[in-house]
Amino acid sequence: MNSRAAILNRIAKAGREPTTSVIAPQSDQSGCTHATLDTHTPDTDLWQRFTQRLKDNGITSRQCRDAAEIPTCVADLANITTSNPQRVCIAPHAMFQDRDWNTAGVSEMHYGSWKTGDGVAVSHARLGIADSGSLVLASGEDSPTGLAFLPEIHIIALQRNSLVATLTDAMVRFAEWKNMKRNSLPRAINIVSGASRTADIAGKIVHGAHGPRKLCVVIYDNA
Amino acid sequence: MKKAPPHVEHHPPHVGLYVTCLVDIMRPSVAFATIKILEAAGCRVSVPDTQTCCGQPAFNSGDLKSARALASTVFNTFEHFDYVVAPSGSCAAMLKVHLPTLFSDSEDKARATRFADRVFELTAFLVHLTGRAQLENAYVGRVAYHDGCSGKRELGLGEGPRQLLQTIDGLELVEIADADACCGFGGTFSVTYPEISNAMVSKKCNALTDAAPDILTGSELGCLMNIAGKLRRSGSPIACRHIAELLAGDTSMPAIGSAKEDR
Amino acid sequence: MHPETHHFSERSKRAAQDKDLQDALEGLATGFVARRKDAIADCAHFEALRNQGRDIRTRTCADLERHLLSFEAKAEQAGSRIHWAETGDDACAIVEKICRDAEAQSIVKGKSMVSEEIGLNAHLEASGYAVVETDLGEYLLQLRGETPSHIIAPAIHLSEHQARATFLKSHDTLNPKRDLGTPETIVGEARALMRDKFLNADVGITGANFLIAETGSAVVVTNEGNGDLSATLPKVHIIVTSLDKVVPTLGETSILLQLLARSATGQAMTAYTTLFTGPRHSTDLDGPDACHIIIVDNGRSDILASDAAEVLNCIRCGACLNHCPIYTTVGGHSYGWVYPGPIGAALNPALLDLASTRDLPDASTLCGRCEEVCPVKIPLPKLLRQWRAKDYARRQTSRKKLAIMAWAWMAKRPTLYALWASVIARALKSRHGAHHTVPLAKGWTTHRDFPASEGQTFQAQWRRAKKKARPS
Repeated sequence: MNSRAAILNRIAKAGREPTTSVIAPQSDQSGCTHATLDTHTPDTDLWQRFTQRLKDNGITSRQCRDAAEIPTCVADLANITTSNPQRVCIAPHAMFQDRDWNTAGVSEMHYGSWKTGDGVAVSHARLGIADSGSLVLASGEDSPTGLAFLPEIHIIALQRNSLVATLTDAMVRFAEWKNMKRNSLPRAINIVSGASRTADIAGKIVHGAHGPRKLCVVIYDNA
Repeated sequence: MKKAPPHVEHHPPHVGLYVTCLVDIMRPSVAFATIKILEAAGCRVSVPDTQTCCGQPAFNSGDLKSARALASTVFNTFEHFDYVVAPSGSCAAMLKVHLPTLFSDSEDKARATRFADRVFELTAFLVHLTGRAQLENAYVGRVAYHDGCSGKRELGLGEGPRQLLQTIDGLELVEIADADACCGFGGTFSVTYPEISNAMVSKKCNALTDAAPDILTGSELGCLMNIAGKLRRSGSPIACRHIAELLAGDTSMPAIGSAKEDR
Repeated sequence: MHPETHHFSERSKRAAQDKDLQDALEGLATGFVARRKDAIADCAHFEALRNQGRDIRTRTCADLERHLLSFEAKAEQAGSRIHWAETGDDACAIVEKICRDAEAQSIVKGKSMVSEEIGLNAHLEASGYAVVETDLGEYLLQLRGETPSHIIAPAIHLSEHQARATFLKSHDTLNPKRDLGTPETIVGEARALMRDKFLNADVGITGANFLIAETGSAVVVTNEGNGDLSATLPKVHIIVTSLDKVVPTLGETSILLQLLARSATGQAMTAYTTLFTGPRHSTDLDGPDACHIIIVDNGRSDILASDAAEVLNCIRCGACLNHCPIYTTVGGHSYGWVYPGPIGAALNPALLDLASTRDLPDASTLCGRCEEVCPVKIPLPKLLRQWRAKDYARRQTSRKKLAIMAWAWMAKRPTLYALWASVIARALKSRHGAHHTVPLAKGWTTHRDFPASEGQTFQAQWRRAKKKARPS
């Protein structure tokens, strides 16, 4: 019998045999037998909750009316000036293409994957999650995963109408993101809730462990 | 605890006092105080003289056969009372929470559950009776309460003991940091793992020293003996007394681990 | 990792008196414990989440075969290769073969308790591969030749000074006079060194926090982002995980993730939570060409059939460690194996054997804080008592067993018991109020005084009082 069959066989047997406990379990007063996916969050002030959570997570945010303003916000958030030029790696997302990056002050930029020397990267989020102040990225031809983990500063653009209340609201939607050819989810769905951090040196929180030291969000209304 | 006068009942509840081994051998004044409180609450109290151990040491050591035998003795001795009250969270938890699990496969299952429903730790029972006790129990001083683990987590005593303490005239309740952390007693644990137990009780004593109460009280004599022993060894002036002594207003006995001359 | 669980007694004794360790462990209370408390205060429905979490785990384990098969089918559909390993050695051999086929020169690795459990690093290194741990804590331990002492904070036992000294000693090609005076500079040095490793690695190995049956995805949670870099940059991604990690649906996974982050680090969400589903798509701009998932059993299918099955509900948050008065006194290394603290004491006897682990369930006051904080409500004190009962039944005699038997024998005889109680009550009386030494209680009196008795048992006094009140 191969390993797979042997393991599954033992599991199947375990399921069939009733287990008896040396000490019987105590009665359960909760009366909760089925997981309902209701997360009990009132659907008000979603926006306020989101911005507060972003702040709690140490994420800097800027808001603008139109996607055309994204380059200016990026330059501002990354503090890109003539005296502080930085090379910016931009996801080849439709919302970022044909924008006037140069006028905004982002003179050194390229679309695609992160290259050594890129200090800033810009990605586009599929969703924002109000409850946890998170941003959801999904890998694909317009979204390289490395942008979220390799630059010093990571900036994520989010369209205002992509905000959901809870993690559950977000995750049940992932099922709709199937790639038709392979009938599977994007290779990587990243739920990002802050800059890279570690507490491994004597329990003190330090940012920029491996990934970005700083995480920012640009929220825009119209495409 | 000067509330409404004792409620007159046609049949005052008949309470069987489960004394507990430690109180019986080490500190009988806790049992006398308990009786005083229960009678003031309008109960008729009886103390079966054939009672011994609830089986907790056997249960926690994995000797389920002995635990079952001892628990069933208690069960048979106390079954006819309206209530069974113990001045100890862990002994009450043994009888209330664990005893039914020992009989879950037997024909006595329903009986065991009915019995367990009528077992109470002293402060939980006073809360259950909702302020019927009328006692003279002034104490002027700072008092901290240590949540015994069984009382806090197995019985869910919650804020009851503190609320009872606050009814005592002149008593100022103070909180110690991490009040519901285990003191390191744990029955045989305190002698099987003395270094770990000592580290735990040391943390407890440090928290106590910071809060600086006059008295540390609690519902668990084992914990109080452990903490009192450590406080005394380190020369602390904090006295330890069982909560029954304070509620009964009877502090004539020297504090736990203390000689008469100390107070 | 070679189990040394039978050394608990002497190791814990030493650890309890180790000043440096005590200082390091003190940080748990101000760190994890305080942050968890705040995170829960901020989440009104946390108790409801816990109930849901427990139910999800219990139902999944009750129907594990179906969920695993569904996971396998979906993961293969997404292009992952699934490997089943009955033992740790089998799993190591599978990983080694994948590395050989990939002609791997260098391997980066994210933190994984299962890989610690099966001794993967030692196996790969013995086979000639260079493996770099990329979690900063794990990396420090690798440099020091130590094992993790905590499920989510592997180097919690180390001070900042020890971390600095380790880097100065190990990174000996760097300027010995460089500034490593702050946690920031230490982290910065690790970041720079590790970046090269990530960019040049051929194989990335990670664990998985959850496997989602609905989609064939593996969920990896980190704050550093090292798991994502290990999973994204090398051309081969290997996920080493165990069969208890499966969760039926995306929605149910979202419940467990919320519990995990709040219970572990006190965050609403961990910085990086990623669902990995298969290798890169043809149009993807990055990601590995191959994704292998190794599902390790290593004794778990037997646990599933036992009365300890509830330990498999664990989601490895570490909250029971942080809140355990024993763990926070003796640290993780005292436990002698991968899983320390209350969950280790409940799990290790099942994964190893009871004879060599019997001290772990014994070394507890059963204070119940572990169960109180467990995000999926595992009844840990009940499980510890079960192991004690099994150990009691297994052992012929021991001092403790004889003492318990003698006590129980006497307690079943009320008259004899009353007599014995009177003798003890008299013997423990003292006009000083307490004893400095008591025969047979050295463990107690080495550190504490033993409070004196009042001299007469309550029962004796009560009998007399009653006689006086109602002379017959």
